[in-house]
Amino acid sequence: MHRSTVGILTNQYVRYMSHVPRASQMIDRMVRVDHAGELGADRIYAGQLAVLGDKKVGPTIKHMWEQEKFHRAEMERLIKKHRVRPTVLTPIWNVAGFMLGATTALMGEKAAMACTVAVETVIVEHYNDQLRQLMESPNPDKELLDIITKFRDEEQEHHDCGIDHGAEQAPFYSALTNVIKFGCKTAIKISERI
Amino acid sequence: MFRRVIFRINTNLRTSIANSELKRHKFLTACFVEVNSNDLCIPQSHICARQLSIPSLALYSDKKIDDFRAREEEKEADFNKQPIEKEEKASKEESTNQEDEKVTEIKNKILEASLEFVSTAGWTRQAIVKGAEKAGYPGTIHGMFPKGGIKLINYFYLKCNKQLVETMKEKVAGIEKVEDPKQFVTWAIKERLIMIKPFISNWPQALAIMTVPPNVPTSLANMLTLVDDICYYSGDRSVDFNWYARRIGLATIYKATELYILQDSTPDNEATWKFLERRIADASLVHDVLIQSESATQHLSQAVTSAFTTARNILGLNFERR
Repeated sequence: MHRSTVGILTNQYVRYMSHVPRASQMIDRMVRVDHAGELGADRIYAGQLAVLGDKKVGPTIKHMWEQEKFHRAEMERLIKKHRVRPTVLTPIWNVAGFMLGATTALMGEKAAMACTVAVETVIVEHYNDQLRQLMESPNPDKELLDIITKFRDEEQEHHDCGIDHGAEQAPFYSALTNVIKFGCKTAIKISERI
Repeated sequence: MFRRVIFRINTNLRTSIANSELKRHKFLTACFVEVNSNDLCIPQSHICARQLSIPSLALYSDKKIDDFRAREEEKEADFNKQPIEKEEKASKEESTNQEDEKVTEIKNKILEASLEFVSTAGWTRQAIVKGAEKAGYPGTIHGMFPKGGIKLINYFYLKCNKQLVETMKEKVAGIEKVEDPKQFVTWAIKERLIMIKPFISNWPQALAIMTVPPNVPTSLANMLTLVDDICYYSGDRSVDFNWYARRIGLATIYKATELYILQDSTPDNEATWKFLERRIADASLVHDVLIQSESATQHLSQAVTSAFTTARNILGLNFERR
């Protein structure tokens, strides 16, 4: 869909339909992109676990996956609560996330951890940006603020866990992480809008 | 077989490298202790540089986190720089918002009055002029609506949407979950179409104006708002692609029925409602098929997984599990 059309769609919601409890454009975008992100993260860990399930790191990945699943459920709840339109690319993130997880896992445990580190770095930065934006707004949504703060901390734990498991010894570590980071940032930009 | 042997050798090699690194590390640590105990004046950086040649996790990750922290702090500082400007901006926005509200109120008053002239003057500037005069403003105030007729159409469309939302709210008030979403959707579309019946003779003109390219985004947004509301109140809480499928499907049905009602001459538009019911029945059939195909994708993914495992077995990548 054309960008201006989407803009008009959201503006219309806010301007004319204020009697319907619909979220502001800022919350709308935040929840949409966060839901997309958590969906992607969930699928990445699913992909990693499909390959590395019975290796030594299996339980660690499983634990992170459980947390991501909870994040995703929370974001789905927020989507329903604020009547946010989910991103149109959900099927694509679904497949892309799994592929990314499975491919890096096939390259070895360390590459999988490098992937985790790259993804979580971007997500933590993204959540921090959102927190700043929320604090700046006139009446910040307390619930959203708390949820994002909590998730941010957990994603940071995943990032540190990845480093502890030797992510930096992965083959082509810097190239790999940079490519993944770039991909994640692009995905975030796209999911905010459509 | 051959491949597996190579793999074994590789892993052996890897362990031996790891062992030798461990030895080197021990050796260096020993050196370090010795150096310290002997109080020799070797610059510490020298030793550090040598130590760094061993991939040291702790050093590396500390550096990363420090980097990250520094970056974050920088951003924080940038952010704190202009709080005053923001406040000024906010107060300005507030005042313009108040003005905007006043203007919108007057506009809505005029447009509301104009609606009764639509049957004679059509969805045109002419109707707005007459409406303005009736509402007690000079006819020249139509300059407030540079786009003319489309403003009137949008006003009417949104007013009907609002009215429908109120009716739907009443209907679902106190109900946990709509029992039969199909029936609810049929009822909602019917309610909405009844609202345009007083203007049915001029509605083709409105449809035509709405499809003029500059008006398309707004008209589309209005219609999507309508179907979104219907979906929401009928209990749709999907968070995946179904969200779009439902809304697009519903929009198609609404549009088709809207076109049908234009040339329907049966008493009480019976033919239209039958047409609507048939469309809804068709759509739910398609929906059922889609649900079924969803489980088919699950089978597909299972098949892919097993193919994947087999391929790994053939390549000998699963040797650890045996």
